[in-house]
Amino acid sequence: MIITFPHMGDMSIALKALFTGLGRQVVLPPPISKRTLELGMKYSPETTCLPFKVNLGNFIEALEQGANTIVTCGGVGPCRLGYYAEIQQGILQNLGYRFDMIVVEPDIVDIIKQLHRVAFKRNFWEVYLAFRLALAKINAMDSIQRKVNMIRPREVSVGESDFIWRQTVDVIDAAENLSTLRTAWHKAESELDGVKLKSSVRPLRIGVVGEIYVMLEPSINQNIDWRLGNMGVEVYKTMYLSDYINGHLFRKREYLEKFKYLADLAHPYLGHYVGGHGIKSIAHTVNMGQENYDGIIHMFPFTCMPEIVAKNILPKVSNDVDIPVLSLAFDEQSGEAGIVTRLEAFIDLLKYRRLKHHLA
Amino acid sequence: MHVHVGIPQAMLYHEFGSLWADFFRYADIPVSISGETNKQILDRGTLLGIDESCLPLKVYLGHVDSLLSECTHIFVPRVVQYHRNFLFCAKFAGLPDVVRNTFRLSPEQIISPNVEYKSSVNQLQSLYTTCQAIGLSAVPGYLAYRRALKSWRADVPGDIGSSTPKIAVIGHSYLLKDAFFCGNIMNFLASRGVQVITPNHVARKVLYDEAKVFEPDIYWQLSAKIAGAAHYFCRQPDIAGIIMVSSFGCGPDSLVNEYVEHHVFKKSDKPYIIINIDEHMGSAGLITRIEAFWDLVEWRQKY
Repeated sequence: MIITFPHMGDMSIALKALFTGLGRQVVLPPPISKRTLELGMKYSPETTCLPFKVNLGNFIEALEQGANTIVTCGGVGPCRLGYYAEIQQGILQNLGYRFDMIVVEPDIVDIIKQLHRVAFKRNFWEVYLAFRLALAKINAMDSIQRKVNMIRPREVSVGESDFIWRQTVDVIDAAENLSTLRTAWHKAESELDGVKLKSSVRPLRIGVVGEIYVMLEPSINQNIDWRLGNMGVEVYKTMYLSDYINGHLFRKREYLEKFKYLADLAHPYLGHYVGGHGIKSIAHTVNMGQENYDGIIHMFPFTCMPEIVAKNILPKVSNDVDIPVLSLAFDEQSGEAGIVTRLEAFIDLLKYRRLKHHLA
Repeated sequence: MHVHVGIPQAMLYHEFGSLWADFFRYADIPVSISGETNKQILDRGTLLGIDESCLPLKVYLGHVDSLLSECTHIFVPRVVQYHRNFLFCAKFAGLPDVVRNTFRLSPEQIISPNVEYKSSVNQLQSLYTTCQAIGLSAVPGYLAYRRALKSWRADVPGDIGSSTPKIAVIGHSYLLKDAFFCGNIMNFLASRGVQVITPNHVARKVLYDEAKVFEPDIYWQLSAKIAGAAHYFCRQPDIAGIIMVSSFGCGPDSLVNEYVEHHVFKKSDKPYIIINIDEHMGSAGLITRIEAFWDLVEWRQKY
């Protein structure tokens, strides 16, 4: 059993730790490249959403490198995600690949069951340790990333925080137990605290809402955190992998309460769950408007069903809470220049608005 | 209170429309149906909807727009779930909100009962919401609903005769029943003396029974109906070929078409074609493909 899984941001680091800890060999799909996209596009249905195509490209490239077991996620609808695995399996079989596919449903009981199935000669305690290490890696990376996003627009020597981040990722990836991981995490945090900041800057604050895959995968979203940071913008992403895990899998109380609060905020605009993150996109826009953010970037894969509902509603929200919203739909054609131009124009608009408020 | 209800003749109207319209008629509430889709409605909808929306959603907004001048209320039910094992597309769950926010309407102007389960409690709740919105008291409302439901259930598709050859055209009702989208295909087939059969000619129960093969793989109800129809028609000896129509940007179709092609069409020996339609209505490309398909069907029948 040689395991592989789709890429989504830095998720591969955690999953690698998990499956290695379970005593399995792991083949990571090569980093998402032009070839990944081309393979995905070639064999996917034409108008399906982007994550489907990229996942499929990941699978093909990993199978080429010798993986024989694909671990991927399921779902329950009404969004298309829950239907991915079934179709992808059919397509890969048609292409002549021989493999097993393990579909993990997004609930904690199923995850434990599937982990047990995958584990190789490991007792319950060892499974637990592997699971805990993987989660701790996710939490560490997300926490550092948040901090880097705050520092990037303020640092005196450009690129310092990113340098720390890149070094830390390698250490986290290599960490084999919790104590090495924690040491690396604390070291990174204290190094980031030591980064010299410009004192007089008050950067624009932009909230990023929308669909989790494009938000987290830098090769698809043109590395938007980094780009915005270097344009002098403090980026606040409303979703990280750890948020999803703590909210949807462990159903932690603080997250459930927050979700309830957000659903109430969205209710005047969108009165029902529409799958995916549709409601959260609306709610966070309202919330950040009230908290005086300068602008919102709403990003989603082209033809994404829940986010199309949200995008239809966002103009009204934007108007009501008086916050500019830039919607970006990502597909396999998203060129760098198109995105950069739109970001620059949006930032100009936000700067102008701030100036106007300042003068008024 | 002056009440004039408008029902857009798009999307789920083509599934449940007669039930809705009959309810308002039996309750003596003035009701207008927006009428057939035309170029103007499409253009208006394309302008109002966001670019990434699917074609039926854009057309829906065009229909709503055409009703706003004469109607006080627009009937946009929120259909989330109707059968225990199935869901509807996410866009139906958000449809009232999309309409309200696009046209900046007040909540009172929209009648949007929630249809979430097939239980009688939920039916009564939806009925109550509807009656409240139009100031209708509960008893006549309930009676009107019962009458409408009875005539809706009695409306079983009739036999369409057995002259050969037959071509099955499958797809969402809101495409097949809308002459603006499928008129070209239907007219062409009629001009060749072909009889057309659609999922609407088959009893709903038969289709959902057929679709049981695909559970729990397909969780959208309308897609299950389409897959069931494909499965059913592929086994009928008098069906000479199958045309599958879907719209550009349709979420469920993008995956279900692939699934049906893989699991149903390729395993049967029926000729089939999948046609995607969008807002560019040039008919030459469409007709050419249907002609080529028809040539294939004829050739298959001869040899």
